[in-house]
Amino acid sequence: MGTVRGAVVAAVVLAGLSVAPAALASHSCQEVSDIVGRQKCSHYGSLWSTEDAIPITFGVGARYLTFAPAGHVFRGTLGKKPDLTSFEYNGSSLGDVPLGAGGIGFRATGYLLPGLYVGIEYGFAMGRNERASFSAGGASFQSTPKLIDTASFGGGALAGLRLPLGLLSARAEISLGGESVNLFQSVAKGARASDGVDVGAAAWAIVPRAAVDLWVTPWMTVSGTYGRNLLDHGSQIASLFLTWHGRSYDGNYFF
Amino acid sequence: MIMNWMHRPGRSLLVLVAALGGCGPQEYDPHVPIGVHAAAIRSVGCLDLGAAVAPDPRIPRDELLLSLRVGNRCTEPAAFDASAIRIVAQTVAGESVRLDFVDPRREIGPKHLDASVLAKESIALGGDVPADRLVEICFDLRAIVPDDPGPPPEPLCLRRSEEGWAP
Repeated sequence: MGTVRGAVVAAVVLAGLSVAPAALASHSCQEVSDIVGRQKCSHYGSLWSTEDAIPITFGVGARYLTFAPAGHVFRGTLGKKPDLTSFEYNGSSLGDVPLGAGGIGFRATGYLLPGLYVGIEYGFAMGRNERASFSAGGASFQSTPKLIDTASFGGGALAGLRLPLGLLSARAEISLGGESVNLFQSVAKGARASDGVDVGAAAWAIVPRAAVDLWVTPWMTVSGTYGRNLLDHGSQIASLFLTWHGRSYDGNYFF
Repeated sequence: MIMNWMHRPGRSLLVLVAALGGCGPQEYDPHVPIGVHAAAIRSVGCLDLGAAVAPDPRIPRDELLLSLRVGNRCTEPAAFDASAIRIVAQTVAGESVRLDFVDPRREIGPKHLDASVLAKESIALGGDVPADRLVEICFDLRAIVPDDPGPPPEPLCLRRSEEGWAP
């Protein structure tokens, strides 16, 4: 899973680095005049023309996801470096009920063609998923009484199509990435035991999603989305996003 | 470790969103005054165009500063070509003279006004006759929206009085 996590982090950081210089540059320029031909930082049409509007979006929102543990290997370690005792178990030991978590997500997209966009997304979530005690691989596992015992991180690259419908728009998109889940469990193996250890599993995800946007201002939408991991049908994700658009109404079909 | 990994990219994106949201175009509401006399507004297609002129200490005394306001009533971009505005002024001697935009960088040309956006531009007007010799300026707006099938708008004329230039 280190590969998945590393790829997601790299994609998010790379995107941030690619956009940040432009934002910082525009922020640092001191405008000297609003008269055409005498402006230093802007030019005719720079604040209102579609040609000067960058077709990008940034979104932040709430998301809820489920992760079906069966079929995934949960791993962890007991003790301190260098004297570590590793352990693992099959997620089916956690039962058939998917793990659930709620949290925050971020996404950035850019339009390549009218109605066609690509982007990246990242999110984390937390929750409580109490499970019956069980033993596996010579170790015993038990839920802790903590209010939050589950943390999930995920992200990936996405591509989608947008159909404008007046104040609404409908989108269909697909996300390629990964999702990890960490459970905070009491673990005992041999002479070693701990009241709280991170035990994690991760999986690649191909998630087709449907979304509906409602324009609340010309540059802001509230969107509801729902998707299901094609590689793991017990894993689903629903979200409610607030998204800022570089073009008003995303230019409809105008590019 | 989990929390650190979660925080860094998330915080960066939030800062970026806040920075980008701080500057941007202005939404157009046809019911809100746009900073020019109501009689100095003409409608063409999706666009409402308003104009005001006045001397300005930042430009030469023989020029006038045009405050151009264009609002898009539609929820899709609208073509707008300010360079197609024909400006004719009357002098105190009764002559008709042409005025032009002072556009040293040749920036003014055909563009699309983004949906539901109000455009604000300040453009100096110059011609062969000094500004203090002019008594009336008329803007012919017939060609500002290419291929507009609607009736041509009335010329937008401003006359000089003791209070300044007004429709």
